[in-house]
Amino acid sequence: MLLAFGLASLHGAGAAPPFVGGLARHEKASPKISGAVLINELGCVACHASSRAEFAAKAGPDLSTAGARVMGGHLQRFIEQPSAAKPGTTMPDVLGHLPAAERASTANALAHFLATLGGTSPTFTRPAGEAVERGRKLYHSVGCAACHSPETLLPDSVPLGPLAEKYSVASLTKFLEDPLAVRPSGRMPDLKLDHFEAVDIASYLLRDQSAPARAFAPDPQLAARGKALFTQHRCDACHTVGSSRVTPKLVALDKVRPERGCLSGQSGAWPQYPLSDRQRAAVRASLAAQSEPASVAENVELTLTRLNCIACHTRGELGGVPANRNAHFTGKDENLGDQGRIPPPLTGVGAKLKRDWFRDVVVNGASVRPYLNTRMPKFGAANTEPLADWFKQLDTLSKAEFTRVRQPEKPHEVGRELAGSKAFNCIACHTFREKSASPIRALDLMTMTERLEENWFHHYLANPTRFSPITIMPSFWPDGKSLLPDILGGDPGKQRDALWQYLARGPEAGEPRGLVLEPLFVAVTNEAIIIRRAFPGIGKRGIGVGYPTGIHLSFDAGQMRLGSMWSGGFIEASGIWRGQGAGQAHLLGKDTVSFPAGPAFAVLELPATAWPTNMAKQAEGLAFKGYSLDAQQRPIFRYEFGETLVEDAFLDLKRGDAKPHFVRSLKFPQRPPPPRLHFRVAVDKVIEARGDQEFAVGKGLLVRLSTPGVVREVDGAKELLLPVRGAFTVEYHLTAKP
Amino acid sequence: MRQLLCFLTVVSAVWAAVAQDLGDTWGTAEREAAYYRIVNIPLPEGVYLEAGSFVSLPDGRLAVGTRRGEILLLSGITNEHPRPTVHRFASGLDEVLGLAHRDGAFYATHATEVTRITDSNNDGRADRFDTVSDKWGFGHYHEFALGSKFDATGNLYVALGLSESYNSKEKFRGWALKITPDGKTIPLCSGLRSPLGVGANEHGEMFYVESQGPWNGSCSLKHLKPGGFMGHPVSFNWYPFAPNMGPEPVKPNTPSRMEIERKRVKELVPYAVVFPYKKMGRSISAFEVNRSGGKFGPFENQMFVGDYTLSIVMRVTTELVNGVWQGACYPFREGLGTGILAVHFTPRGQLIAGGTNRGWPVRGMKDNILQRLDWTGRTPFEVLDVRAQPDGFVVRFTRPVDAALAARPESYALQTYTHIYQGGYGSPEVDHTRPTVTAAEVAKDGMSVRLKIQGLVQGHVHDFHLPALKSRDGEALLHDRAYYTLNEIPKP
Repeated sequence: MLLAFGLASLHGAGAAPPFVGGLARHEKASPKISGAVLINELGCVACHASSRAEFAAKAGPDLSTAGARVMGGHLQRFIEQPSAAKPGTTMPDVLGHLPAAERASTANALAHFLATLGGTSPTFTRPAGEAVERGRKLYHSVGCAACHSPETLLPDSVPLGPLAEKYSVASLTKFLEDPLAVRPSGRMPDLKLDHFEAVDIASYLLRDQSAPARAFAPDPQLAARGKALFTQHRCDACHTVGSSRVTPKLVALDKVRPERGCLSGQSGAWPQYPLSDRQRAAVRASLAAQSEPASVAENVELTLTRLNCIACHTRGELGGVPANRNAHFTGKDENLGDQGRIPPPLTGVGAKLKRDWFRDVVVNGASVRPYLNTRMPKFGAANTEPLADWFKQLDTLSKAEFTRVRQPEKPHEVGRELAGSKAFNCIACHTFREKSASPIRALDLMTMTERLEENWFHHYLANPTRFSPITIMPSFWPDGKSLLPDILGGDPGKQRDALWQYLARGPEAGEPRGLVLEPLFVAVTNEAIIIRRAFPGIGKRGIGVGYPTGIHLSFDAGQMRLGSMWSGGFIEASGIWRGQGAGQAHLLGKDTVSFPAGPAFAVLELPATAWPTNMAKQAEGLAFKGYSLDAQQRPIFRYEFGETLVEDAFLDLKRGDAKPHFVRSLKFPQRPPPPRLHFRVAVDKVIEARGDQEFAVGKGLLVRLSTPGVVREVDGAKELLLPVRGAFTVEYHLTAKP
Repeated sequence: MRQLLCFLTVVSAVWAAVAQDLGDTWGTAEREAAYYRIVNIPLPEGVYLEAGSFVSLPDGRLAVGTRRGEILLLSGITNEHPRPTVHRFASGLDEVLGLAHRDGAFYATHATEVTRITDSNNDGRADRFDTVSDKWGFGHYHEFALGSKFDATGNLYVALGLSESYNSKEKFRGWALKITPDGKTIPLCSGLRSPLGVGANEHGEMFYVESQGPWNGSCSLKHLKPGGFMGHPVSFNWYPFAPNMGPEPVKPNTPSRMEIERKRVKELVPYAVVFPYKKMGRSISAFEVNRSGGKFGPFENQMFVGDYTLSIVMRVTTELVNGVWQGACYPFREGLGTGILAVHFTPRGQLIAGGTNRGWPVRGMKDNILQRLDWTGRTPFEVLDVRAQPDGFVVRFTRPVDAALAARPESYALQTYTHIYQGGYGSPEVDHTRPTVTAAEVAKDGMSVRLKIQGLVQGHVHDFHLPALKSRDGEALLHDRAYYTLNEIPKP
């Protein structure tokens, strides 16, 4: 509200002339152009028919849900005196010729009618402080402030009007989420705000709203009268209330007498527009020039002005971010300089972008520059449909000469090589499928061939600064000579074509060399973590367990055996969580000890019986039954050896400064183990007994058994067995220096 | 999840030479949005969600089994503007591609096994993992295991992909298994290749989705007929381990046609619904039946199936004709953000879609993204379904058709084709015919048309192209295609 009144004072109190954002940014517009834009914005053709598309009237807001969206009191005040309620509005005063009392009662009846439309009226909720703050930030960064005034008031801003008397947070949110539903003209485009962002911006805009508006209960009789008045006063020439707009009934535009009626500056039974002299002159100039149809270039200029594209974009001399709003154009990546914060220029864009992509950008707000904080809005098909074709007609480039790289020369592979770090290193600045090889995250290589004309790609790569004087993109073919003379014979055109063909593979293009990705470390914090997948030395039924004390293990749920044990970091998971997941977990220990393949339990007929070679990935006679987790999420494995259930638990222990170690306990909770059952603790070239319960295994492991173990010689190695008579424990200490 | 070798080895060399691409979009996304809105579901910081399977819990939360082996519980997922909280219930599984829930326990089908997962101390986190079945081999990461929900009598179904997508080196790779409520594992079907979803059709019968490749000219939905052979003979080596399945079937000839071989190989079950390649997906994935009671628009009791490569969702209807399942598939919604592995209807009739973007080419290149399709309440003008008749088809619509246009036989562009049934990779469309629509009788209410057709071809896909049709209020079909696989012609 403050904002609106502030602006009013800038324009002078009372009847400020209608404000058109694009014209305020297009000071050099010829009277013919500015007149045509005014004819659009003021809706002249809604009453005075014209066959000329460039004069098409801006559709007024769709009022079919006005009652649910707008407070009744505001409707009444606004209809009675539009320019007083919202200085700068393009809505004419259609009741101005009526005596004051009739004027008030007419506006009142119309307000009552509109208040019945669309459901119950907005209900007041106080904007939340945090939402206001977030909304303030969004308002000043996503692009609102390109057209509307920032909080520090600026002239030449599209007026917001007295929002606080008009909306509730909920109804303004709904409007902001889909402005085109209410204002199909696209002058307020769709900034692609998600619901929560819309709530925040609505909260910010209504930050001064502290109490509910005066209650406004629509009166059925008044509403019925208002409905009739809506037609009588030709509101339906610009607005819809569910049905379509009525067709123009007055004298056609090319027969209009430019000194009379709306353009006379006098009060009368016509809509009153408080036009400035300059505006009036421009409209008259445009009317006088009606016999010359707008050229394609003029149509583009008209559209860019009408939709105020020039508030953000330049096209040649036209438009661009003005100095006093520059600070509100920010980016997420300072490395990209102004290209990383200012929306791209439209100069030559018709030769640059493919038609379908261009259309998708203006119609649907498609965009590829995630580093810009301002958002390319969505203007809707109705307002932008021919624009792409016009640009394609206007902007042309000579045909780039190059030789197509044919299959025998492997364009896809060569292109991939060229994009990689050993060649042109495109990924040094551009992301590739949103992955980045450097801190710079310029627009994604995968978007190039989808958006760009192949011809432009060749011209641009040959000399980027020709198109974009401030770009940091280098030319790889200075003076037309390739920096890589050995690839494709150093032919610049062929090299660019190979890049194009490679990028055009889209989702099927392989990653360029050098796209080194961040490692995927799996960190263990205050409780154990289980990762089930391939681990080194065991089959695919691996279970890795990372323990908070910093000692870790892998267990093979196919052979029911300990796979390996290490301390330090747990694992790096690229092998199992990137690409197809074809690899295995990478153990981060430097003291890793591995245990022999094959089941760890066997029945030996004689003490000398060889350990069975039951090496299947899923060993016969063994069955994995699962695990339970203790309070620290440590697993207690369950498996069956024949009929015998085994419970196998590892507890990680750490005493003082000593390295952490495991105490493993194996229990037989259902039935005692079968006779002559043995447990194989370890196999190594060197196993040194220290008594019959403590053994040094190789260079890196010390084990302590709860019952005596036996070391026996097997094919030049040693095997440490534990004859099983009941539950037992094994302590594992890693002794290598990591 | 099937094209490992297709892109990495022999085949890739051949395909690269013909400049393989993903094919065109349907070009309907902009219009689709008016009827089915894509809602991006924001995920809290620190959550990484690659959805492999979904199930709704009795308390309304959505459980998501992920490729990284977690079970995440999402609250508030059905809100108009969702901003869910995410609770990690379990972790440490291996690519959850089937998640079911019964009597307070999860049953996760993941690479290694079916695991029953419970929270025995009621602290909101899983603490007990019981192996329900691991009676299959797992020796290569590409051996995916896809799991179903429970059927009416409490069975689960597991569909096992081949080794390296071409061989059957580990036990029961390329088989479907049934897991009974008492934990028995029963071999059910052989001949699978690269399943990417298994579940019940709209009539409660078990089906799975198969991907294009050897012995599969195109992607398809197949009936898991007990004792059946699904078409890829490389897994015959496990018949000795499945005495309930009887003797090993006769090997199909190559190259041949499904229609010919199903007469030679009595166990061979023809593809119930063929999804013509690229036009209707390239890696179709897990499906679910819409039982939202109209909350998802006009397509009640139809199957919805995603596609990994093209990031789309399609519809499917099936019917049993002469004892053989068959039916049609229809385009539905494109433009999703990631490769779709699974879809799921919430209790409020919204369709959750999620998946992954890594490892295989995909049109929706985003990772860590979950989306929802909401019906906007507007009914699109669509082909509701196509049903076979002894002398043609009945085509039903979601809104009344313009009777004059619909009564003209020339409004129906119909062609048929099939694929080569062969050991080589995939197949072009072959044996094209153009049947003649001799009459089109429009129902009084304008909601259906009875087509009389000369030249129905048993065993062929009947490909309908209907750009000439208009609704009574002048609107063109949102999607003007339907593909009916005519395994059997109904007896008069």
